[in-house]
Formats: sequence, structure tokens, C-alpha cells
Amino acid sequence: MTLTENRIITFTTERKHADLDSVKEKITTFLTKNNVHSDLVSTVELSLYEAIINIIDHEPKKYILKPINTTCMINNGCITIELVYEGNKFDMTKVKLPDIVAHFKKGKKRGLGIYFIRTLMDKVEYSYSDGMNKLTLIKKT
Amino acid sequence: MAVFQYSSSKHGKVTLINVGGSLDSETAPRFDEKLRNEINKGALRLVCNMSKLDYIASAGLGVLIGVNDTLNKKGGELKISSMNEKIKKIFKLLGFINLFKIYNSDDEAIDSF
Repeated sequence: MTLTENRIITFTTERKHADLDSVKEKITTFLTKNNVHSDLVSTVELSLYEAIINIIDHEPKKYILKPINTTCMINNGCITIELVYEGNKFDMTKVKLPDIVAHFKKGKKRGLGIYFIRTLMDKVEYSYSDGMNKLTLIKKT
Repeated sequence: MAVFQYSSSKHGKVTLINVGGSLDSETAPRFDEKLRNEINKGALRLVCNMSKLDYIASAGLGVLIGVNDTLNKKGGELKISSMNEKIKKIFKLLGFINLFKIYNSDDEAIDSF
């Protein structure tokens, strides 16, 4: 399949929670217009949301004004989302997934985002170069 | 801004919570506070009706697990009723479906206590 214009979307997000509704709307509209099944739309939308929340909440404040560049494409039977953002190196693919019940019994109220992303997506890739993180989320259609 | 709806009512010893809209990083702290208020007022048996819940992120699930854990320690429990298909699929995919007792209706959930 050749990538055509309507099968790729790129947008920039500010690092604030208030921008997240707009992100969800953009990705949902894009995937729905491309006839992606609603179940897949939900899982991809949620994974993207968790990835961006993770960046907003855990990257140092000095990067607060730096945008998060998001590209979503549908190609070769996959939905691929690339998040490129400046910040500290953090490879979520190397994080040991928590026992979710034990996690909350320890009194932790957050920290399940990575579990969500890695469970809901088929593949997660990460690279870091020149201060830029690149997180790639892949889901088979 | 994410939509969040909450109401509660008493049914004997059971407190029925109706939650709607979105449970995400923005609304989850408010949901947590409201549930903790119910517990502080003495509620030990909670049923959470999710029929009008459109969206649940990790922060929202964290609240449910944390509150259920608090209730368990006090001899109580949080049960879920009327979960819609969208949320149910997410629960299944994440392996959370067995973390809570889930019922088709409020009556069924309330009667189970």
C-alpha cells in the first residue's frame, strides 16, 4: 500500500493537560475517517493519551514549552504513531511492567500508563538522538 | 475540559455511584476525592455504575483499584455495574476484568452484597 496524504496526520501538542482533548479528537477523527474499527480507535487513542501524559508529567519542567510532535500513519496493515520530543532520555520499553494490584497496594496512585501502552499496542520502539526522544507505537489493523 | 459526572445514592447499606464522562488524569483526582468522602462518611459497600462512562485512562483505573483496596482493608468492597461495551473491551484487553466483580445491573450488584 502506498502512503497517501489522507493516511497520515501530523500535529504538534503543547505539554499541558488541557491540550489532550484536542489530541484525542484529532487521532479519533483521523482513524475513523480511514475506516479503522472503533475498538482499534479506542486502544490507539488511549495509548497515545497515556504516552503524552507520561511526557507531560515526568519530563523535567525545563522542557515545558517544548512541543511534542506527533505523526500517525496507516500503512502496510499497521497504525504507526511517532512521538518526537525534546527531553531526558527515557526508554519505556526497558521498564519492567508492574504487578498492577501490588502497584496500587503500595499506595501508588499513578504509574500505569506504561503498562497501558505496552499492553494495548503490538509493538513499542524507542530511540534517542541529540536530545530528542522518539517513541513509536505500532498497532496492527 | 474533560466531562465528569458524579452522583451517589443510598440503597440500604450499599452506596450506588453513577459516574459518567471521562476518568482521566484531569478528572481522576476529583473522582478519588468523592469516593474517599463516601468512605469517610461510613460507606463500605460501593457499586459503581459505569453505563455513562465514555473514557477511562490509567489514572481512573488507579482510583478504582486504590479505593477497592482501601475498602477491602475495612471489610468492604467496590463492585461495578452496567459497564458499557467500550469500557469492558478496554478492561479485558488490559487484564483488569477479573480485578472487580462486574454485574449487568445495579440491582444485581446491590443484591450481591
